[in-house]
Amino acid sequence: MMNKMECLTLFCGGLEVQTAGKVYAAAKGLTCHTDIIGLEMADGKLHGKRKLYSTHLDGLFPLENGDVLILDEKKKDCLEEMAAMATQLGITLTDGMSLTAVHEPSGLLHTEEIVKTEDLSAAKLVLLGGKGLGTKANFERLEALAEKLGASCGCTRPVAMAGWASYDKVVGLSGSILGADVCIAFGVSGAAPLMAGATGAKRLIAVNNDPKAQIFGRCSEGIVADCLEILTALEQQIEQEV
Amino acid sequence: MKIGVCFKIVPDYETLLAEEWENPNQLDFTYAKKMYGCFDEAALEMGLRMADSLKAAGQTAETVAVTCGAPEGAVSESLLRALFAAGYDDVVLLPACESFVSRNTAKSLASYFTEHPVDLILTGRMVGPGDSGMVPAYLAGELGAELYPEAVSASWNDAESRAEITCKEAGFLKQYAVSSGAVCTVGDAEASYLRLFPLKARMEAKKRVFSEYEPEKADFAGEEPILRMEKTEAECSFLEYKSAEETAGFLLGVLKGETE
Ligand SMILES: Cc1cc2nc3c(=O)[nH]c(=O)nc-3n(C[C@H](O)[C@H](O)[C@H](O)COP(=O)(O)OP(=O)(O)OC[C@H]3O[C@@H](n4cnc5c(N)ncnc54)[C@H](O)[C@@H]3O)c2cc1C
Repeated sequence: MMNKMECLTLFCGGLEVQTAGKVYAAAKGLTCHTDIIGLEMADGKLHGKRKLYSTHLDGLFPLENGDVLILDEKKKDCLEEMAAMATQLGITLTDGMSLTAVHEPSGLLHTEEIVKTEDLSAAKLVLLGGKGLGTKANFERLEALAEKLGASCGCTRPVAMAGWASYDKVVGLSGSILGADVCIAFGVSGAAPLMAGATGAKRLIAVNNDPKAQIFGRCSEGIVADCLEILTALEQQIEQEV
Repeated sequence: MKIGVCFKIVPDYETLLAEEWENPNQLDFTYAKKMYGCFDEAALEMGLRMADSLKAAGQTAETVAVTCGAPEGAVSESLLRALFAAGYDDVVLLPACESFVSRNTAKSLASYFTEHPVDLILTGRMVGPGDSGMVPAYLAGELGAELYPEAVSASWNDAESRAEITCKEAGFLKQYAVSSGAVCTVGDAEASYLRLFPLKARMEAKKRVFSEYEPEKADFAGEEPILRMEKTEAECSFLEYKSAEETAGFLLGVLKGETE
């Protein structure tokens, strides 16, 4: 017999809050829905919505009374709509952090602050480099160009994984969500997890030598060209201006 | 010291045809390229690095990689065998659980680790975007073990005789002496890929036998989600390409706010 839906517990915040939510749900034996981006009625039942299959699809998961929902702070803009829906349905959305503390594992030996070089989510102009740049040296050229232009330089996850850039430059689901006025992507395929962060840019221009690259389905302007040739031409023109 | 690493082999969704997503109730992933879940791959490498640092200090190290089925046609014997070739002492196969009920997967893994205890369990933060990322927390809960989130590296400190991990949390790197039997999730690790190995090791791996384990039945109920294709927002207009110089001029104009 299903319980009447009265209460859901919501953890909304960064990684620390999300971990606290997961640990809380596991300790209490509750069902926990992570990465929720909204609530929706379907087939007469309340569902939690999240992205599935590397964000290619939306999935609606049926909710039960007392379930735990976790919302990433990057998706905070969904919160208002979720709260309104809960109120309308007479459901109490309890703040999970009022029920538990931040999760702190034992045995802490040392803490060191990570110095963030830049805040990509706040940048107005972004040059975004992907594996299509071919080498670390070419990514560094893009970084140097961005600096000369007063732009920020971001990268795709494989670029960070290859050690061409630090992880704090990653744009996408596992990095920053852009809010830039302009983002120019060099040699980026446009995989769904990257686009989750890149499509936040108001104007996304993609340079890719493959006319069938996925990014051309999701950007505002597309240029089918060799990104290294464009990079070289940009460097030369900037050089001439100085 | 015995190190257990939980991993999953998944289809690389980026290798599917775009049309595949148009009919979400008849998804066919069998033709997709297969890969280790990307954070799981980092966990697999971290397990081996931990073993390396133990051996370098003259300690014994045993590594076991454990997977719960191969869902959605993602069976890949070569990826499983690669784990032997890379240095895993044992590769254990558990039957698959329903895709969307992470508590069942965690329960199966917990059942294995209860019968075959290890000193440290590593697992990816999540398999991929769209996965719940709940298995590590439920697994730690089932085992009554501590959960260390977002490990970026792990090593053996011989002077102190303890395993240490460094985790990346909310703008800080935190180093911990890990408690015995703990579950650590691996995030943006220092080494993201499983190490390379010579052909000889791959040939040797062909002779190895996977272990199989039948876990205690886990039967948390979970309804299948309703699947829908995401809507794409932008409509791309292609700019005619004449020369790199002209394109660069256009891009500079846009960046300076001079070109519409
Ligand atoms: C759990 C998980 C989380 C993830 N999170 C993220 C994330 O947050 N951010 C992210 O970026 N990725 C993420 N990914 C990875 C993502 O799925 C893709 O693999 C990644 O975005 C691809 O990066 P890329 O475009 O640089 O490389 P590739 O896919 O290799 O694409 C390179 C592109 O460059 C083009 N190219 C090659 N040479 C040239 C040239 N000379 N000129 C022009 N174009 C050229 C190619 O046509 C290709 O389209 C995640 C994956 C997983 C599993």
